[in-house]
Amino acid sequence: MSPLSSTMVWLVPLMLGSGLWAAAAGWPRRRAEFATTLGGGWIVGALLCGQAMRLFAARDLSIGFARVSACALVLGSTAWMLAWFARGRIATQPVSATTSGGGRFASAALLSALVWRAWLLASDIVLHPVLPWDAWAVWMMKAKTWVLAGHAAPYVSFGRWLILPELDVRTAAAWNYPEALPWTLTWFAADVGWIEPWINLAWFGLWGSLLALHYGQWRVLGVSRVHSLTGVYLLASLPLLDAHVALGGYADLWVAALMSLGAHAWLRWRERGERRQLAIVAAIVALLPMLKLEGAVWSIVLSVAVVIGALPARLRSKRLFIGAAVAAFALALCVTLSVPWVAVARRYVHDSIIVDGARVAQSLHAFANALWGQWNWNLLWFALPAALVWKRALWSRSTAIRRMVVLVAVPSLLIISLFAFTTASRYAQSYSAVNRLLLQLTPMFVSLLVLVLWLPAEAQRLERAPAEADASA
Amino acid sequence: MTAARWRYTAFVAALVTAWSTLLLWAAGLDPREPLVPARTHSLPGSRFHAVFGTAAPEAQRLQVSAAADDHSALQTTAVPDLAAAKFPILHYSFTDFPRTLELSFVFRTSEAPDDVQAILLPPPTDGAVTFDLSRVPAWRGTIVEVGFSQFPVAQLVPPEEGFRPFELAGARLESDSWRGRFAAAWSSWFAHSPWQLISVSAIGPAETGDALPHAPRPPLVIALALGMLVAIGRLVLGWRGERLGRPLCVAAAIAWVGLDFVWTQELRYRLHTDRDVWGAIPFAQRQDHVADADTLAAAERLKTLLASEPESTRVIVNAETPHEILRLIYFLAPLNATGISGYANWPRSTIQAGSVLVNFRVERPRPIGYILRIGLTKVRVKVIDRNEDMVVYRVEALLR
Repeated sequence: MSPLSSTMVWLVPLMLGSGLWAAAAGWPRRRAEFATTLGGGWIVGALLCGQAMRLFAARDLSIGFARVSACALVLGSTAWMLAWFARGRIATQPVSATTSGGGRFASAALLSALVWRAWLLASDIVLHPVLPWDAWAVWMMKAKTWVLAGHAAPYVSFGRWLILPELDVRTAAAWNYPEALPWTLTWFAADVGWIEPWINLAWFGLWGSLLALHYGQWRVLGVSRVHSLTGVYLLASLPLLDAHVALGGYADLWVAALMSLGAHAWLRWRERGERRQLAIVAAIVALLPMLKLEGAVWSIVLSVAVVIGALPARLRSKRLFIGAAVAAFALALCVTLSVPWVAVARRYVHDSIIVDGARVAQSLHAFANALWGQWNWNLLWFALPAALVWKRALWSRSTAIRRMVVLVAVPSLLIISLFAFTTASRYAQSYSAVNRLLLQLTPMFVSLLVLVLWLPAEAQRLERAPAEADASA
Repeated sequence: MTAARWRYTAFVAALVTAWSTLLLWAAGLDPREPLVPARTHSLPGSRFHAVFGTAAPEAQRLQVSAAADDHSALQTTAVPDLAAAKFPILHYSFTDFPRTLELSFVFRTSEAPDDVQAILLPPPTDGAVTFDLSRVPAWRGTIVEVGFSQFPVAQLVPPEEGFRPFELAGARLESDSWRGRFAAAWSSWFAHSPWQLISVSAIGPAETGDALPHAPRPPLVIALALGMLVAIGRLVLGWRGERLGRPLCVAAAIAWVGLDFVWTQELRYRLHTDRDVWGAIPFAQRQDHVADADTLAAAERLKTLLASEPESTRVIVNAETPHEILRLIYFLAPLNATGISGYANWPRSTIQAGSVLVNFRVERPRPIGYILRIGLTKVRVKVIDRNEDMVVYRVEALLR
C-alpha cells in the first residue's frame, strides 16, 4: 500500500464524479456549490469507479487500478474543462453569505463537533474487520471472492450453478442482488487487495460526502451558513447513521445518499428552474436500482416526481392520475423484465397480506418504538412533527417544503404499509429492518426539518393566500 | 407580587411537578416508597466462590484470575431465602472489568431449584451499577442463590482473548426506594455496550430491541419533558407561536446536544473496546482476528486442501446454523462455495462428479457406505479429508 496509490483510490472517484457533476449541473461558482459538487461527486464517482472496474477489468482485476484511474482521470478532467468552458452561459442565483460574530462562533463549535465525531468514526473503522451479518454475507461476499480470485465470475442461481459445472460461475443466497456496491468495493481493493478495515473506510468517505453535499444543497436553497452547518450536525449526530458508518458494509447509507441527492436535484429543478439538475436526477434514477432492491422503488418514486413536475399547466389537475399511471407503467415494465425486486415484493405483498388487526397493531407499535422509544434517531422524530406543526402556516404556502413533504411522504407510506400489512412485519417487530429502511429516507427527513425551520421566507416561492390573491385580482 | 410574577411562579411550580412525575414514571417508582432502602442484603465479593474459572477472595473482594476452558466464568453464593419481591434493586460493583466480557446476573429460586435464570446486565465500566430487577419477570419467589457470570462478547471478541483478570467488589440487594430506582434508571440510561450484530438495525445500550428490561430511553423521556414544557407554557403563561417556539427550540437544541454527548461517549466506549480487541494487531491482519476463529481455521485448512483444484470446482458446505454456513463460505473465498440450503429452492438440481461436500461440525448429509443422498439425488463419494470438526467428501459419481 503506497501512500500515492492509496490517495489515488480516494481522489480518482472525486475527480471523476465531481467532473461529471460539474459538467452536468454547471460550474460551481460558490463554495456551497463546490461542497455539493465534491460531496455528491465523490459518491457518484465511487459508484462509477466500481462500474468502470466491471467494464475494464472484470477478467483481470489486477489491471483495474491502472485502467480505471487513467480513464477516470481523463474523463474527470475533460468534464471539468467542459464545465469551465461552459461556465459563462449558466446563470446562477445568489446565496446568502452574511454571518454574525455569534454565527461564526456557532459555526466553529459545530465544525469542532463534526471533526471530533469524524475522528471517533475513522479511528473505529480502521480497527475492526467487517462485523455486521449482511455486510459479509451479502454485500462484501461477492467483492471479496472477485478480488481474491483476481477476476469476476458472474453469480447465478443455485440450480444453474450446479447444472453447469464446467462454467466459471458462482452462486450465493443473494446471487440476484444488485452488484453496484460489490463492484465499488473492488475499486477500493484495487490497489491494496482485500483489507477489510481499509475497504470499510469507503463508508467514512460516504459520510463526509453526504454531509458536504447536504451543506451545499441547503446553502443553495437559501439556508444560512450557520443553519446549514447545524443541519449537517443534526444529520451527523443520528446514532444509527453513525453505526452504519462505523461498522460499514451495508448498502442502506449509499441508497440514502443517492435518494437525497436525487430529491434535492429535483427540488432545485422545480424551485429554482435549474434544468441541468435533471441530469443529476436521471443519473440517480439509473443508479438507485443498481444498489439495492428497494432502490428500484425509490427510483420509480423519483421518476414519477419528475414526470409530474414536467407536466404542462393544463394537466396539473390530473397529476395524481398521471403519476399513478407512470408508476404502474414502471411496475409493469419491472414485472415484464423480471427485475429481482419484484420477486421479493411479490413474496411479501402477494402471498402474505396481513388483515389481522392485532398483528398490525403489534407491528405499528414496534415501528413507533423504533422511531421514538430507542436511541436510533436522537430527537429527530419528535422534532420533525413538532416543527411541521409549529411552522405550518409558513410551510403550507412554501412550494419547496410542500414538495419535499410529498417526496418523503410517499416512500414513508410504502414503508409503513410494508411493515404493517405484510409478513415483513416480523422484521419490524425484531427491529432488524425497519430502522434500516427508514435510514434510506432519513437525510431527506433531516433536510425537511432544516428547510421547515430555517429556509428564509425570501428564499421561498410562497403561494399567496386566497385573500391576497383576490385582492390583487 | 404582580400577576405576571404569579404566573411565572405557577409556571415553574407546574413544570417542576410535571417533570418530577415524569421522572417517577421513567424510574418506575411508587412515590410512597422510602427515600433510602429499608432493607439491604450485602454480598461482599469475598462471599462468592468460583463455579467456573478460577477465583480467590482477597480482603472483602473476589479476585477472578482465570476463565474456564469454555472461556466463561461464574461466581455464585447462597443467600438465606430472600423474597424476590422485597429486594427488587441489585447494586453491583467490579474493578478492572474488561470491556471484552459480557456480564450476566444468575439466580436460583427455591420454587425451581433446577432452573438457573440469567439476565444480561450493563457492564460495570464505571465502577458501581444499579439494576432494577422488578422489570424482570423471572425475579419472583424465594431466591436461594445468586451469582455473576462472564463470557466473551459474542461475535466480536475471539473467545480465548475475552477474559482478563478482574475483581468482584461486591453486590447488594435492596428493598425498593427512591435512591435505588433512580440509580437503576441512571445506570440504564448511561450503560455502554460494544458493537453487536443488531447495531446496524437498532441502537441502545443493550441493543437488543426491547428484549431486555430497561427504563424508558432518554430520547423519549426528554421529548416528553419538552412536550410538558410546551403544554404548561401555553396553559399557564399563554405562550403561542414564536413566543413558545423560541424557548422550545433552545431547550430542544440543548437536549439534542446532550443526547449526542451521551452517544459520543458510547462511540468512545465502542472504540476503546475495538482497540482492546484489535489495537495491537497489524492493520492488514485485523480481518483474520475474528470471534469465530475456529471457522476461519477450518476454512484455511480447506483452502489449502483444495488449492490445486480448478476454480470451477463446486464446494457445498453444511454446518449447524445458517450463521456458521455463511461465515464458512465467506472465509472460503475465493473458493467456489455455497451452502447446502440452496437445495431448499432447487431440490431437483443434480450435483456433478468432482464437486466437493463439506460437513462442518455436523454429520449430515451422511453417507451410508459411500452412498450419500443430497437433494433428490444419490451420489457416490469418498472422504478426502477428515478432522475433528470437518469432513470433506469428493463426489465421484452421480447414481440417480
